[in-house]
Amino acid sequence: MQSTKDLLNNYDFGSTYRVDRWWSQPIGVFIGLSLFVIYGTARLLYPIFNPSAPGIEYGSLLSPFFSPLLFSVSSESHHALFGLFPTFWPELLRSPAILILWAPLGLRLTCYYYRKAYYRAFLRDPPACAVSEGRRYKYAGETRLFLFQNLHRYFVYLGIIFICVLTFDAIRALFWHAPAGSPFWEGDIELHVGTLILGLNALLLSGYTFGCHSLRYLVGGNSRCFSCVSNPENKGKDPTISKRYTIWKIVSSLNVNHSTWAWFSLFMVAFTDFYVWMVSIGVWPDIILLKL
Amino acid sequence: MSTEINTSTTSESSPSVYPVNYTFRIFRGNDNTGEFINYEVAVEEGMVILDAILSIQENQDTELAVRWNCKSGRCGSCGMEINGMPKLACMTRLSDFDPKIPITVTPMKTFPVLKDLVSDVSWNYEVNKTIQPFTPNENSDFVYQQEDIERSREFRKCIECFLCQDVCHVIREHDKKDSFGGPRFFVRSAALHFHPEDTADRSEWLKEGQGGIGHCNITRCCTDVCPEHISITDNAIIPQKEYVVDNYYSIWGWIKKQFNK
Amino acid sequence: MTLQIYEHDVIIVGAGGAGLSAAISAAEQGVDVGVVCKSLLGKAHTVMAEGGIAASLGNVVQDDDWRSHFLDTMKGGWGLNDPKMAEIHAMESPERVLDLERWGAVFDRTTDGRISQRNFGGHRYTRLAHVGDRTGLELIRTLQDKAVSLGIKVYMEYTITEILKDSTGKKMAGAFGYWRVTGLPVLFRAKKIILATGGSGMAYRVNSSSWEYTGDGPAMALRVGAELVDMAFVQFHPTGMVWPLSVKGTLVTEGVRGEGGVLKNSDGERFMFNYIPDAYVGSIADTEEEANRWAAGDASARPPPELLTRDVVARAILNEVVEGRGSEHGGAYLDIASQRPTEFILRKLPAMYHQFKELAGIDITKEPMEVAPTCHYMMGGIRVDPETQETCISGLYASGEAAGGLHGANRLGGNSLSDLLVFGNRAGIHAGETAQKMKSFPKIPEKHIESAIDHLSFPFNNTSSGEHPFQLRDELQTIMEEYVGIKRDEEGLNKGIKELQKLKSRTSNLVATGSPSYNAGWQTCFDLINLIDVSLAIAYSALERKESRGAHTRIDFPVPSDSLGKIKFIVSLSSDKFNISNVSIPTPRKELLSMIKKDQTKQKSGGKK
Repeated sequence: MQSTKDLLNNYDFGSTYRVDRWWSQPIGVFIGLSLFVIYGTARLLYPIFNPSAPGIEYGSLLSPFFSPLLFSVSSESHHALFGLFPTFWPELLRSPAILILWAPLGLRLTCYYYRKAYYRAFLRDPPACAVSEGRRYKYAGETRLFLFQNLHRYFVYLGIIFICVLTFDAIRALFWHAPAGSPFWEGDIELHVGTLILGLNALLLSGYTFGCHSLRYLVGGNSRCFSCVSNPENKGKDPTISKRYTIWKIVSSLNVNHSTWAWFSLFMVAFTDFYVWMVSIGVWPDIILLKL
Repeated sequence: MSTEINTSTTSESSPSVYPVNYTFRIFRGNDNTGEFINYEVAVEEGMVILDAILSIQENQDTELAVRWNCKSGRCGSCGMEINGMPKLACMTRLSDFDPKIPITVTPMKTFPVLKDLVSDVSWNYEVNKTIQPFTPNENSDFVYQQEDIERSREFRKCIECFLCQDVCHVIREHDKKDSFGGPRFFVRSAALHFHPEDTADRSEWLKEGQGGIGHCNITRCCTDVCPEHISITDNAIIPQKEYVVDNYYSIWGWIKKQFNK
Repeated sequence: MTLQIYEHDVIIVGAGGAGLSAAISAAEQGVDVGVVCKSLLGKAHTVMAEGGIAASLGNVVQDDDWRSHFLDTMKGGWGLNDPKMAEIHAMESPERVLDLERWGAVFDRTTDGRISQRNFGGHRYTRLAHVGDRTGLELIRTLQDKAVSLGIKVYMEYTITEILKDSTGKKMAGAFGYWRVTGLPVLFRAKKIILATGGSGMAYRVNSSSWEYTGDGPAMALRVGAELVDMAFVQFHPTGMVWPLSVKGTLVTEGVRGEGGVLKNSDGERFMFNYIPDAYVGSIADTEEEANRWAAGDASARPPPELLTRDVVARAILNEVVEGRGSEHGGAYLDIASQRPTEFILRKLPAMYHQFKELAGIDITKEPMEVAPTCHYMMGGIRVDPETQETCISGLYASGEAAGGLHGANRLGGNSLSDLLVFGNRAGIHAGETAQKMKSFPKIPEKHIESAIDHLSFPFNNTSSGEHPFQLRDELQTIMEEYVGIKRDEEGLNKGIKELQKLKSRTSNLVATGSPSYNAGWQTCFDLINLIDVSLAIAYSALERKESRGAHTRIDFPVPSDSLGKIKFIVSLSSDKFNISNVSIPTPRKELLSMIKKDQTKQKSGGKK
């Protein structure tokens, strides 16, 4: 006979009777997210140290990491809304991404899927189901430090604005070689590989953003009854299902695979940036598929 | 990124000729002392873990304690940990396990062990009492559409096996039994909240009361182990976290409250 | 051993649908109520009920009213039902269903937003209020939550071994048992006790019950002088799972047939067309074409023969197997895959899909299920007053499956959930009202308590060479299956009784070892004592009933007898001897009688509904 505590309630880190490879998922997530953070940081800093070839844009293509491009670091920008960085702006902060990237990062940081992913993989809270954390106390969940997670719904509003911007970027990537000074739609219509990549990126990001848990709640989840006459919302109406139900259903159908959308869109946004960077410095060409 | 968890060793090695001998390494003891005892059982085709345990009880050791009832996944009595994962013994088929490797069977360890595979789940019944019951509008005529019962219906599938409570690290590791309700009771409060005719506001229970939904860090183990495949995290917990945001952290909510004052 | 004593005005034994309904209505009378149950709260067998609650709400077919529900119940019970109970049941069940809705149950809806109903065998109208195929779970959870909100005290995992009477020997005074967690004795003193212990399916090997259903209520009531009624009638549900072996007997809801599922034999023939009994000729479709029209929603078509009453369908399946047209594992094929689209099956029968997928590896949206009869329900039970549910022992009540009388020779699907709601409610109200008027608790003579405590430990005092409880249970199931099963005859029943008596005498040598905490062997000793008493009551009643009627089939008397159709057999126990007597069934009141007659003539003329 041994003490039951030793046999069952062993709280050493990693203690479990599971026999499968429970560690493979947290390790995979750890590697995946770390790679993204490293790449993202590198790309954020890149224009500061390479202002002459920042790898932000190529012709009509604009990297999603830097869109919308408020200020540019090079004078040859097609996309900058307000020209070059103002002179008072410190040189060490002259990366256009700094101005905007906090919004999509905030969306992902407070995302109900990513929270699971990094709580498990980075904070081992828990490392995997029914596997001990090696620590029993000082846990406050999302009641103290992580209270900021409740801002998620505001980030999703911003996220939707970014979807509009990126969709615009994808459409704009259809028009090439507009004469200087005239609007982009006066250019030639050309379908490049880059156009497709920007389009796919916008699509995946939409799938991710419009499947957001907070959005799902806001568009219909907060309605407790879609047809009840006794519900103040439906006072005096027929007991028919309201339109919000349909919208809620659509968002719900995207929400079911939110984690898949999250990973694919994360990979895609990094790849899109990488692609634009590579074509802009001439590592590989942006092949033209179709010309009208 | 699938969240499916397979705790069986490998299903390719499942036997084709029956009966097959399996070894079960079963926890015997109480909350103070215990030991693992190995039992050999000749397993027939189609048998589940509970069949093997009952066969041990009938033929080898009538003292072995196990809690069970319907034996078809409807009542939620036979929750235990099989190779470390919380599962219903009656729904875990032996053909998913390799007969060469002993199967470890332990009680739900988050709760005090009463005897062998039986845990004291009475805490759960106490939590349940703290939730405001169904509160319909007094003049309600209970007319609503099928679409409106879908949400509540999913939560009402819950069979109260308490596997989600067992796996939830907030209870299991951090022992927040005094300030946290656990997934089962977020499912219950969601069933009430999304009942088409319910009018009660349970946000205080959720945030300040026994619910303590802020302790949940949505790591989804509850959803992973649910034998009824209820999307506990996505459909019950997150909408209620958002409901708490509505009531406590939303700018609009704050403005509305000021007006209502 | 220290004796723990609890006091409540009303004690309810059993926390299934009947027990909880009774508890709620008793508590609403303002008395202090305690519920004692063998398992955890909410695990009672009611959760297994799938199909629905029969109640003539008239939401789907407006013509339906309590009168037609009454007629269906009487017809399904082959006229052996207690007419007063059948009337009360039919009249009150809609209100009880609406109670559930008011307490938070979420029933399936009709297109105009009211409680939807479905078809079931023997019900002429679409009548069963349902929640997918999890109606029982919804029912028990709703009642459980209501009971919790009323502050009713629940004693979980207590086994009651004896009902104790006061010194006069005529009145109930308390219940004695033990807490399974510790094995320590406990006494419940109460002014009124309601037995809602459910059935006794464990008497048969192939059953749809859990280990708990060992006839505790009827057996304990019998031993204190109450009477059992209609015990010959044991319902074998036609569709239990047959494979794999470990789930043999697990129920497949009648809802599968109600939603359009058909029965086929190994030749692929829909054999039920060959088994339409005379009483139903004319009200059941006689061609596949008409049955298909019915399934497609044609209101002028008659329902298919798969929806005949359970006794008929069970015998038909058995006959197909005996004549060599059975399925691979000895049953029939229940096929809904070929009748309905996948999406429909998943929506209407999610639990069935789940059950077959996970336990048998069968996808019911693509393949047929294999089914065979399984012991499902006891029509018989404790004899009670139709209006109050009180037994002949003052202060002792029974309701739900533990009580008998309502269903007669065969129970219609869906009538048991309405039964337990209606009569649980009535028992609770009456017990609560009368308990309120009692000033003090009845006194229990000390020596009764002492002997009850002594009795508890007998299996531990026996030497290890005694009887092994699980082995004895196995023998009991073999006897019941062989001699008191679906088909019976005089010789077999006599043999069965002899064997059962032998088994009964061996129970005093039952042995348990180890500590009393959660000791399954020890528990089984008390279960067995009850099971054997109930089994004997079944066998004696079956021997006496020299006819075939409803669920009771005698090979030596293959047709119903007119004279036996007017009487009920009553079992009682005096100094350990079983006595069988009979009483005539009260005539229904005039209005009902003429209704029954009119219905029968309409039937004979073969008129469609």
